[in-house]
Amino acid sequence: MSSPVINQPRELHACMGLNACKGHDRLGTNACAGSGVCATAAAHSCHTLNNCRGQGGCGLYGTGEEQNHPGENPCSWQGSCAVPINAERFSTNGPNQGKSVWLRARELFEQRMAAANRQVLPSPSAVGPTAAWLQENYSEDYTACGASGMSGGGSCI
Amino acid sequence: MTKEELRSLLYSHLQTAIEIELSTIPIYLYTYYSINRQPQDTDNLSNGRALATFANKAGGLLMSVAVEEMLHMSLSSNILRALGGEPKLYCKSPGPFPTNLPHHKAGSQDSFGLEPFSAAQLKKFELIELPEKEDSKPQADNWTTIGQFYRYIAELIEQTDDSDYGNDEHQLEAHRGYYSPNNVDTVYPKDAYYIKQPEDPFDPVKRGASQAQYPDNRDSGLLMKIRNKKDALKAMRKIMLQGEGFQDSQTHEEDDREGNEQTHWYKYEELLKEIKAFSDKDLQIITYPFPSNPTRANYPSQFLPLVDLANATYSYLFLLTETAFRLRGHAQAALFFIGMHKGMIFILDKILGGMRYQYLNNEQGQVLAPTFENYAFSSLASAKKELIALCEAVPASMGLDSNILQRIKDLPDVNVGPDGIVRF
Repeated sequence: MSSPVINQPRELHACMGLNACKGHDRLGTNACAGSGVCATAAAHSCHTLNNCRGQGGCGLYGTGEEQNHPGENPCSWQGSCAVPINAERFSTNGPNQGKSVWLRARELFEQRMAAANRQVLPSPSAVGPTAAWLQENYSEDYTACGASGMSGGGSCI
Repeated sequence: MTKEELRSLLYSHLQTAIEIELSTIPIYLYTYYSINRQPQDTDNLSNGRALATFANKAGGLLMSVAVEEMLHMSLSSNILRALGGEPKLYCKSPGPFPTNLPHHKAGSQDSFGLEPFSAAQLKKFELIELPEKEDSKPQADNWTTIGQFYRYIAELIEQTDDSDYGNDEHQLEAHRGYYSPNNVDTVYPKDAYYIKQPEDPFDPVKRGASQAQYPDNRDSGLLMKIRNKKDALKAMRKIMLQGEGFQDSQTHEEDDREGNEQTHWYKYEELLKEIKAFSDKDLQIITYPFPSNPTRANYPSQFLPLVDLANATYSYLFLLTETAFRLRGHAQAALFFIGMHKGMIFILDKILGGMRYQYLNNEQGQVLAPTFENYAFSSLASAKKELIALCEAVPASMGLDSNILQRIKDLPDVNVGPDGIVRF
């Protein structure tokens, strides 16, 4: 799929449904905050590999506190996990252990938007993009981390 | 004994403790990387499901132990640092293999090698973590069990005063994310074939999350700063409990009174019981054909660029850690948190994992495996540049992950200048 030319800087966000602005998803076509189809943050497969604040995913490495704040890492190289965040991914540590990383990221996104007095549309998927969807629509090489395979995104070794 | 004599003894024995923990890391990791945690050829076997499940569990438990050994190494380093010493980690990896652990009682039973996964290797691991007998005595040298050696150190610590402890800022502290239990490599599924079940489109997480087994307590990865004698003794006790459990325990199963986490010894004991259900042929399906005790010198020359990169990365991580104990605050965090995590998980792990796909083309049909040898950089100032150059020298035929070079370039530079700023 090709992206339209976007002249203004794009907000970089970690996944489907986590965008703050109209026209700022990967395709540049979403109508509103929260309804973007795909991540604009540079794809990365794991912990500490994110480029900037708020561009980390989460769920598979990192402390319980880090894993409880997907997409909210305070700085470069402090994200907890892969972007995009596939729907199958669960946190392995902390208060969100055993629960969906994407749903937690979406919850935090909606809190941030509410705090900024912003409305959001529903995400294109209520549970996030599955690994199969990501492989078909984002990159056939999409993987998340981990030798156990439990990330739902395959394994990166 | 004078204060100086006590300090000298503690420096020496704590450094030995650090090297003991450090020594277990290559031994455990070598066997870990020999396991294929997601074998593809089990479907046609009558015990395929059990075999695949066992493989993933074995990997998860081994990694959970290896991560805790890294924690123990840092706890011992914190104690040494608190007393004014400086932990040495770089170029302290043992070898050649098989090797005795530092100051371990010498004997053929007690040497440990780089070996692929097997019942024999699990028995060796049990020897490393062997619980001491209830009436055993502390030992300073030629120790029988690690616990007895640590109890000797604890006796020395008992002779210290709170005023002997300091260097708070140069220790690795808790709550900075330096160590975390329960990551995607320590977790494993109750049934490896869960992945064959259909995914619930309304709850895609459920299939995996309902299967996940977590080997560690949520608080088991906690580092602690050593501010006084009580902290030092608590840290020693934590190391001993996680390895062998309570001295008065009949089973040595748990390392906490709540019973939420198994000791290292018990994890191996459990795997030893389960491995009996599988034949040698079964185990061949879930293990990569690793050589025993490989060395750089014994590998054909075409593999040496990748072997050198692996060893240099391994050594660089210890250099980062050792240097981190001379820094404080954000500089220390940059070096250790970013450097170690990025380096360990996303560089070294990927290099070692990728090596397994290179066949040696020898009679035994073996594959390339890490040698975990020390790599001596020319200088602190050039270490990172040398690491980059080694990565650039790996030919494309070795199949190195194309992301590795940039990740190495993104590593913190261990050569931190007088301004204290960590550069990348």
